[in-house]
Amino acid sequence: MDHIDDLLTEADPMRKATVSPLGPGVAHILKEMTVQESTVQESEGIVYRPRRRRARTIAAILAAAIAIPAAAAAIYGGIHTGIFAGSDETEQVPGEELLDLADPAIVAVVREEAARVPLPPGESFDPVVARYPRPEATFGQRGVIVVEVQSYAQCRWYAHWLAADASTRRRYQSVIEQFPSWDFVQHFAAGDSGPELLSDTVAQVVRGEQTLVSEFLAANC
Amino acid sequence: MIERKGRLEDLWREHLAPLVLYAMRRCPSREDAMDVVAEVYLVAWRRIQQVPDGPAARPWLFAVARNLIANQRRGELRRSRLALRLASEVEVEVPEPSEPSEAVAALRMALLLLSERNRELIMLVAQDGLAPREAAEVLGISGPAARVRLHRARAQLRKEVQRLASTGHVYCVDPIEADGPETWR
Repeated sequence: MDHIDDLLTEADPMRKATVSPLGPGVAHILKEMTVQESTVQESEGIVYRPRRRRARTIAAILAAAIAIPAAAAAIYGGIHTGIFAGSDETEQVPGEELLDLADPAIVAVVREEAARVPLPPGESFDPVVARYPRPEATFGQRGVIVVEVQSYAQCRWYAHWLAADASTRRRYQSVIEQFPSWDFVQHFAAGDSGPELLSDTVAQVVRGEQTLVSEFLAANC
Repeated sequence: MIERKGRLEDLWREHLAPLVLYAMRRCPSREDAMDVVAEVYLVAWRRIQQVPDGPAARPWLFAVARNLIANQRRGELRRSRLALRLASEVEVEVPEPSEPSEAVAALRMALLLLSERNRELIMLVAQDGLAPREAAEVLGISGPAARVRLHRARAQLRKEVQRLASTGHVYCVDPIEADGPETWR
């Protein structure tokens, strides 16, 4: 070591600094890190499409808006994590609990959300239910499930509408016209083009045009 | 998942302190440093399969931190809740700096005269304790190139220190107050 090395060491403002040993709160930080990232991954996985397609999808929807009623806690048991999103978590609903999507009891939540949403004749939510419980420990707010269920239904309705004859299309159209009032609309991220695209697509359906429906199906379903 | 978390805990246990100090040497405030550290571990968690095993993880983590700090300087890094939590849970004690000697003041000024990459290379080796080969990984250059560059940078540094010391002006230049790199703030 020459003189320069000695000087460099001496000039280091952190040379006598100490970082404390890990405290008890660190375990919680680590858990929060894994939860935070898992939630993002989970949310990004809702429509299972690459990032480049998301401009025209609802995949940017990361938040959950439906709080779990207190009485439901006893029913769902193991899905509760006791972790609540903070007010500065832009990708989650502040104050709402993150649920353990890998717990078997989460299936009941998925079925509950699915029961609220209509599907075309012959369809079922089995493909969505089959994704739960998640194989890897992941956490997400209830809105993750809401969006997944309703996005799936939206896809099925569009597909059936596209393949139907004129009279059947009119019947399906009455359901599609209700899409803008479905819960998942609440979960469009601020500035997302989703609401506009949705209303444009529904308007085309009403006019009997199929361009946007076809594009939506190709990009998201 | 358990294995993933175990690896993250290992990275945390083995590299947190050096990473905190690395960030604090280069960030204008402790809060900014904690922001960087929190983000580094989030990146590590997300890309845990790509993090090298053992000591090789440190250059990988430092390289991520280096990129994040560059973003921070462009104002792109947000203050995360995680960083605030980290700042409250990890205690860093930095003794009050004593009045720098004439030689140290000259060296600090001389460092500012080096190119950013050469300054970073020297700091990685002399202060962050990396081997030249590891510093090369952080900077994304080859090991031989790092050794050559390090040799030249040290020679330039030595020359600048001598030149500055001979002018007698180094006392007038306090890098902490100078509008130079944030490294020394």
